[in-house]
Amino acid sequence: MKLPLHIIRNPFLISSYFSANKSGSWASVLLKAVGVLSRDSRWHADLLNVLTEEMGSLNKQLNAWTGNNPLLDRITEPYKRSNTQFFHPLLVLLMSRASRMEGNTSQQMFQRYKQLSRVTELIHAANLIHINIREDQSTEELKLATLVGDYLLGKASVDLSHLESNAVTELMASAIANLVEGHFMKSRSLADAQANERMLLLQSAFLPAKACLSASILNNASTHINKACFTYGRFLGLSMHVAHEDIPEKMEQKTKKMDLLNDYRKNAKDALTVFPDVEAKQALIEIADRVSIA
Amino acid sequence: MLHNGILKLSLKSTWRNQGCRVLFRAASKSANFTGLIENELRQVSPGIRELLSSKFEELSKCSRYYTIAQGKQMRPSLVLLVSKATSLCSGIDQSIVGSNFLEDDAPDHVSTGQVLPSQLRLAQITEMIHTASLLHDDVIDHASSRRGHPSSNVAFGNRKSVLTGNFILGRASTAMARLRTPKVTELFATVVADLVRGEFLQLKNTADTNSLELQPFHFDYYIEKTYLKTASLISKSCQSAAILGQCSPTVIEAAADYGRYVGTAFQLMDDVLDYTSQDETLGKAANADLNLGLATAPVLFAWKQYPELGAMVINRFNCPSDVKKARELVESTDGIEATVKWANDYILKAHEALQCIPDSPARQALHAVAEKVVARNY
Repeated sequence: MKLPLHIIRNPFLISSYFSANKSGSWASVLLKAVGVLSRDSRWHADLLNVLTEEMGSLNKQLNAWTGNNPLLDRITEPYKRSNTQFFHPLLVLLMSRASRMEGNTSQQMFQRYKQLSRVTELIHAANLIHINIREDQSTEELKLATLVGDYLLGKASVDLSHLESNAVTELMASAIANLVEGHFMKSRSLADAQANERMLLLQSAFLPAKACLSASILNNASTHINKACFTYGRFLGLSMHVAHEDIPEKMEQKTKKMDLLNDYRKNAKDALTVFPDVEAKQALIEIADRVSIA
Repeated sequence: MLHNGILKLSLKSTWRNQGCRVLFRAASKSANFTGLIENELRQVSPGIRELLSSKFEELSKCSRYYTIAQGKQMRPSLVLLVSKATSLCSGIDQSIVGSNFLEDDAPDHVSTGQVLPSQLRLAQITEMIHTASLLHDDVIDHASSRRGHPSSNVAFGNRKSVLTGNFILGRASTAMARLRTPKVTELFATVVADLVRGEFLQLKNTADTNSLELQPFHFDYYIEKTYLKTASLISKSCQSAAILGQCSPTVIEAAADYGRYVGTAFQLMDDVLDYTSQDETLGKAANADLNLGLATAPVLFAWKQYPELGAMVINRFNCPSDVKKARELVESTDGIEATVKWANDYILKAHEALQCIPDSPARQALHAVAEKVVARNY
């Protein structure tokens, strides 16, 4: 079997490319998405490589500032081992393509899409690191975990401001607040289905939804395209949360969950009907299809 | 409010010579400069609580924790005073042709200036960013108390402290976007990055841990850390106030400079107070800096006289006896006096920076605030 070049260069991808479990099928979907984007422009050709490199250089900077503190690896682990790594950037880039109106786009626009995708990934990473802070950690670990997350949020803030879009700043800043709201909601017992869905939305759906909408806004797309982007991101986020939750014991609950998941996936795909671009749409449909309970 | 007579006298003076500073000290004792911004200042905390409102009671409680025991509200005060002072350069009271030709038969009247709604909002955002940084600082410093109450990490745990800080940052940035002024959004984004960078600088006491001798770069490192952690927010918020007021580049720069000098002097005095005050006065433990392993200005000055401080600085006062020894050494030198003098130098520069802004009660108040920074009881 022929391996794409960027897989060979990235060890993380090799293992998940071949693995049979859900993260393997996820990786193949991401690769398909990368393929679509690569054909789109030469600036996206080496996408996963670029993303890996960028995260790598942030890691290097942190190592420099902390004198290669061995705790750094442990702190960044929640992000590195998450199966949603690089999911947001790829989603944003696909959405940028799907919501685009004219044929050709300038390099400057591609830079802006990339900046937005970076902002999204940074917010996602910072949140993972901060919500994994535990009270029983050593003072030093607490300090580093706080600082590393803050570093990522600081970078996100600066990158966000460089987009010079009031709408996008408002959206992505509110997404930061949503993630915290979702976490605080977790501690309550939620019998009510509506409240439960609200919690899922805050924790997992609003970040991708707002990122997708932001991509559309950067393209100056129409209101109904904007709405479609938001809706797709929202339902995709919901379906990913449900799929990655712990599997319930009882058959009845498992069926309920499958129904919910299928419902969310259908809603996500339905939102795509308004998009003209066939290739990007196809990739987005496949992504929704691939979200499944292990 | 300043009595008219004193106002006229100080209007004629310049702020460069020692004499008028003495004159001003007398005036400031009777001046209640917060009266100028009383109305706006009163709206800062309630406004912040509104911006932080949430359906989740626990989150509301945590995010409002530091808005109840208010603190000095120095940062919002500066933003509001700068707003008022600079509004006379380009606001609704500024004459277009100048008083020479107007021949208005109106009594001599000095406008006190205005604060725009956007500037009040800016003051709230500034305080929110500061509060968010306090919540994270409490975790980073493993604090136990602040402003005479349990610190946030003690009150609701480390994770919730950090996440609440993020929540406040998110809400502050959302409010910032609504000011619809990308330049100001950009400035505040750099403030956030600066605050983080400052914390990283504080992980060590110096960039080069090989040299045991005091060198000029040690002071540079300390001043840079001080800028990033304290002066940046104050400077850029003052600068942003002037930008929102649509002031000229000169005035915008003056506001930035004023904020930077006052902010730096404030931190220097804070570092002095850590050595000189008793526990109750400060609201947090004295000698906190040494216990955290931090080498602040008094220690750096004392290092000049006592080379043995070098090893302690590099090792962040690790050994149990270091803190006590360092404190004794600092007290036996003029390290504290030198730091206070350094702070005074910055305040002189702050006074100078205000020269290009028309004189007014608000500008006088800015001078008064600057003086107050170095008049803190130590």
